[in-house]
Amino acid sequence: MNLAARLRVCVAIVLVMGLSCYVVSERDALLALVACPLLGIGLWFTRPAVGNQRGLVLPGLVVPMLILGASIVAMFQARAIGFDVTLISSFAIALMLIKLGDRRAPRDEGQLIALAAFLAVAAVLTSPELLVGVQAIVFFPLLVYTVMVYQLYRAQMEAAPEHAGGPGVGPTRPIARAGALATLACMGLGFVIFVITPRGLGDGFLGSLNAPRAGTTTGFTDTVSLGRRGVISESPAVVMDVRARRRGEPTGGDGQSFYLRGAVLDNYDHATASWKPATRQFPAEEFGGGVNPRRGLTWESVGSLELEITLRSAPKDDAFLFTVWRPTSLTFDRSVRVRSDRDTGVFRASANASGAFTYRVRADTSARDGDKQRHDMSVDFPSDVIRERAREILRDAGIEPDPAHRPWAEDQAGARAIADSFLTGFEYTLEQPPVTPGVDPIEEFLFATRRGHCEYFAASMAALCRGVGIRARVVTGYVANEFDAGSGSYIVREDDAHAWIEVQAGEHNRWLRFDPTPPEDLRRIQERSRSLVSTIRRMLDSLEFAWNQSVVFFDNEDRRRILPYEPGGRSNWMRGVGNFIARFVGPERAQRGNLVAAILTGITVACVTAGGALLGRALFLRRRHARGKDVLLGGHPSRALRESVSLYGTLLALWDRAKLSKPAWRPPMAHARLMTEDAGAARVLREAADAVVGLLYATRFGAQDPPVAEFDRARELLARAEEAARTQGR
Amino acid sequence: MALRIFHAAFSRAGSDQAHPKPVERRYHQHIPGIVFVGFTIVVALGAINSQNNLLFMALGLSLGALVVSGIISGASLMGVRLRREMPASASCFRAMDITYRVTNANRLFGSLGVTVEEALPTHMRSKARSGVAWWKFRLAAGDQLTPRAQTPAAFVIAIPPRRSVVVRARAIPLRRGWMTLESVRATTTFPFGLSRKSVRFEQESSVLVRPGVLELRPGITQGLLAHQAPGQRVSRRAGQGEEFYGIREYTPGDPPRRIAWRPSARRASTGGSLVIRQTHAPAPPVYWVVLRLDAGAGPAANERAIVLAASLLAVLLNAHAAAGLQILNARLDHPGPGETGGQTPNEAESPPRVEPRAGPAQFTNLLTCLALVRAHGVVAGMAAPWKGGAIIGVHAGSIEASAIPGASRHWSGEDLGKLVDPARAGGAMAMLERSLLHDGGAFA
Repeated sequence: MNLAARLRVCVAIVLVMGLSCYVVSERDALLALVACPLLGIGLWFTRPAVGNQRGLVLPGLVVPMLILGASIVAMFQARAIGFDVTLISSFAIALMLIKLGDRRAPRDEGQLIALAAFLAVAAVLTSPELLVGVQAIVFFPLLVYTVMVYQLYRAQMEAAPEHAGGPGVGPTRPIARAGALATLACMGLGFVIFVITPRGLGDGFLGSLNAPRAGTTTGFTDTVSLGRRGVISESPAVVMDVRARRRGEPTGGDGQSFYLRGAVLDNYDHATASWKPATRQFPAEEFGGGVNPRRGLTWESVGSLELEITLRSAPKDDAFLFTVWRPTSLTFDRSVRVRSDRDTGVFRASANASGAFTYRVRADTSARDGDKQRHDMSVDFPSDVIRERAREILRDAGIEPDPAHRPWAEDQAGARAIADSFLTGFEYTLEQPPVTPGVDPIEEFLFATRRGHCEYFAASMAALCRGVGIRARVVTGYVANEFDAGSGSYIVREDDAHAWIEVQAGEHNRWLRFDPTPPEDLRRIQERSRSLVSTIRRMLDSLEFAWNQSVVFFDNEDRRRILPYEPGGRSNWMRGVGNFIARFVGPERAQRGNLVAAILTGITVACVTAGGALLGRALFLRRRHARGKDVLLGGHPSRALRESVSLYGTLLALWDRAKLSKPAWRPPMAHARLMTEDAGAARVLREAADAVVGLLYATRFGAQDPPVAEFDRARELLARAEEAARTQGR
Repeated sequence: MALRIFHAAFSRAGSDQAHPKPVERRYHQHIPGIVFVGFTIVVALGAINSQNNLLFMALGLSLGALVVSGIISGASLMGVRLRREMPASASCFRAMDITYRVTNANRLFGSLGVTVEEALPTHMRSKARSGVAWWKFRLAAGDQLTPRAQTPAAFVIAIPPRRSVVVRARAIPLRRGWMTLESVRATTTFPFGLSRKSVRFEQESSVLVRPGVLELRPGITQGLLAHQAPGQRVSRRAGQGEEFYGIREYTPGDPPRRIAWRPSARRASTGGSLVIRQTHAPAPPVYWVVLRLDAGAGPAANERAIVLAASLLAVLLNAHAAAGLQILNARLDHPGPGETGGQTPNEAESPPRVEPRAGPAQFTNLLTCLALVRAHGVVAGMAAPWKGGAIIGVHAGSIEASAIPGASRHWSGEDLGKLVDPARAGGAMAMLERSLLHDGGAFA
């Protein structure tokens, strides 16, 4: 196989890999259905027929027209939905498909390779998933080898094109060896650079220029609307990874679960039968990034439980962060905007970043939540049947149902009795129960259907608790119960979404968690299948976890763990720049803008250095050229030629204007002589032609450049001829 | 004299040192490399802004590729040694092969993707590539877009460690005379094309480039040869011609029909033996091509005249005629760069002249003479007599018949376009015109 054929094969593989990488990252079936067959067709029809012959190429004008069309479509899309990686990548795919029909020169192959590489980078930017990462890792050596073959082919075409399509070349092994060496070296260096690059600096300093969809979405909502699907999901997609430590020691295991609170729904809307968060406004704060970043929120330094939670997809647009009750601090490695409600322990965040997002929650599981140990008599649920049902449950349990007479300490037992009432006669199911119009879904669940999912159980228990004056609120979030012993962390999937309630009661007046969902039913439904497919899936999940932990979630702490020292220290120079800027613009603005300023300073210094170097070079050349002061063009033959060619261009224009155009085949001197013999030509034009053509020949063939006087004379004659032509034109 | 020039030309070829070391190593700016650096900066900004670790990984790989590219391209040329071998002779507008022996002295690493190209001195480079803006150049070239001038280059895909490879670069010289190549460069953009590394070797080699010979129209050829019929002239030696040469004594084996009976009869009366009649050997027709150069007519006119003279001489010699050359208003360059070639001052000052002879060796001598000739005003003591044959005058400038008395035909260099057979010499004619007008390069 000669170089040309080998390059064709490599380019085809790289194109297929690049496109598949992007399609997988986008999970766009339509894109796959359209682009992949078109790529296949393009590759088939543009393959060389025989040897080094060109395959099918589109006519010259069609390609620019198609590119123009694709550009216009991309611009309209950009106006409609804005610029993002998906749009640019779609444009790149369109360019790639068009370019397939325009494979005329080695350069076109290079452009195709560049587009494939761009798609791979876009895929990495779009999705941090393991499959994309694996594809990218496989793609890289292929890309390296293809670029090498391309370089050889291009150099051969430039130096000895007659040999490019010749019979097969031998050195397959040296190229492959060099490719392997280069790949290993690149990956080694890439790893070193990946590790030593400090994280957190400049996070979001360009705004949300690149905020593509990244990874899976949680499917999490902050409203429980009975009769609708709500947070119930059967998707096994991984949402987050959780590592737990208690008093500094890793904790967790099979059988131990963590209820990760997301939204707290303490407001029931009868009209829509929905539990919603109470409307509370709380200010947003910035954390992470900058020179002196605030790492997070801290109320108390105590807290025995610490969770390191890694969301597979960075939170966008006030998304919920998941914590455990009662959080005492939250810390972030990356720049994030957080709104926090300490009373309910709800945290909502927006990050100007894509990919994974890690934060740490410290919680005090035994803290007192308030001093008030008396019933809030305003707590009620406006449904007589529910109120009566709650009283009945408490009476059956030997507990005073009237909050005015019930001791505070019995509230916890009352809540327990209500929770236990769901253990018998109720069935947990993921099927959506039918909703009777005009009937409260909670009443229907408690007294008619008696089957439903966790939202029904939680909403009903909260209603029952409130019916007997016990403060209760619905909480939605995830239950982390799938422990991976290998990584020592929990894998949380979309189908782990759950709803439960919290009741304020007990000796320490704490918000206590109650899960009314029958645990056996819940365990049965959430139990992982033992089938081969499930086993493989779990293995892949473990791999993905390892990928995420080692690459996607790599952070400064990992760096410190790997490196014996921290390169760059604590960024003292950055801190210095930040402090300097803060003097002028104030600390608030400096915190965000200092990195931009530092980069701009760097760019300015680089520009000044480059400008100085260019100026020095110009001065050096000027000095060198000035050695022959008496001869204008001395020492620089190309200047004389440039000047004479310039004058000759003017002469050609004058000949054209005088309708004495020079045929392409006739030498200038011969044409000038014809002009001399032509009585119709103006004398001044003839003289100018003689002078200019003489100069042209002298600079072209002469051993020395003509003296300045001849150039001056030619210029003068030309000026006179131009003047004469203008006069004649008038 | 011409023979000495010829020998000098041969003796200079291939006198290079074996395996010289490079005199210069450097990295060149390379557009793909600059684009890649820009791409890397964009990736870096994206990674810093988004803190996306996969982008940090892409950044690491990009920077790694930049470093690896520089290291591998440097290592690839680290042990490369070059030796150039020029061809024995060359002609304008005809491809010549320059041979390079590329040796990889490195013991560990092979060299991949090495381009060997001549680092041409300024006067041999195309002016189009040395600073004339393309639009001006296009304007200067009329409505023809000048093709890119070629620099002799060869390509080696791979040279294993401690091995040598012989490659050839094909080049078409455009200008006659001594072509001296001084330095040759080995470059590579391997592995990724991000940087271009080169090593330069100083090696002076020369070859005499003879003027181009163009195929003339058949009608011109026939008209030219009609001036003398074959056998019109006789040689001074006895042979198979018609003219009486003499008589000699008969020796066994002589054809009986050539016995001169009357002289034999007269000799018989005195006791002599038989004699036979001898005839002159037939001599080829003799032509003098008198080339009148004119320093005032400009280099292009002189070049065309020289090419026309060479082409006419080729026609004559191909027709087995004896052709001689007399060049007026000219002198010869020294036979080789840095040598006098044994010429005496008088020889150097006298008008170049090659006596008429037939055969391929004469053609070589004539072309060698034409390769070295240079218009030089009016040389004192010019116009040495040319006699004994038809005279064809070739004028560099306008035809002045009185300058070449006795010439049966006069042509001007400007007539070359009309005389050349476009079907067989159109390409060469175009190259000639390009060399004269559009392109300052030494090679097509």
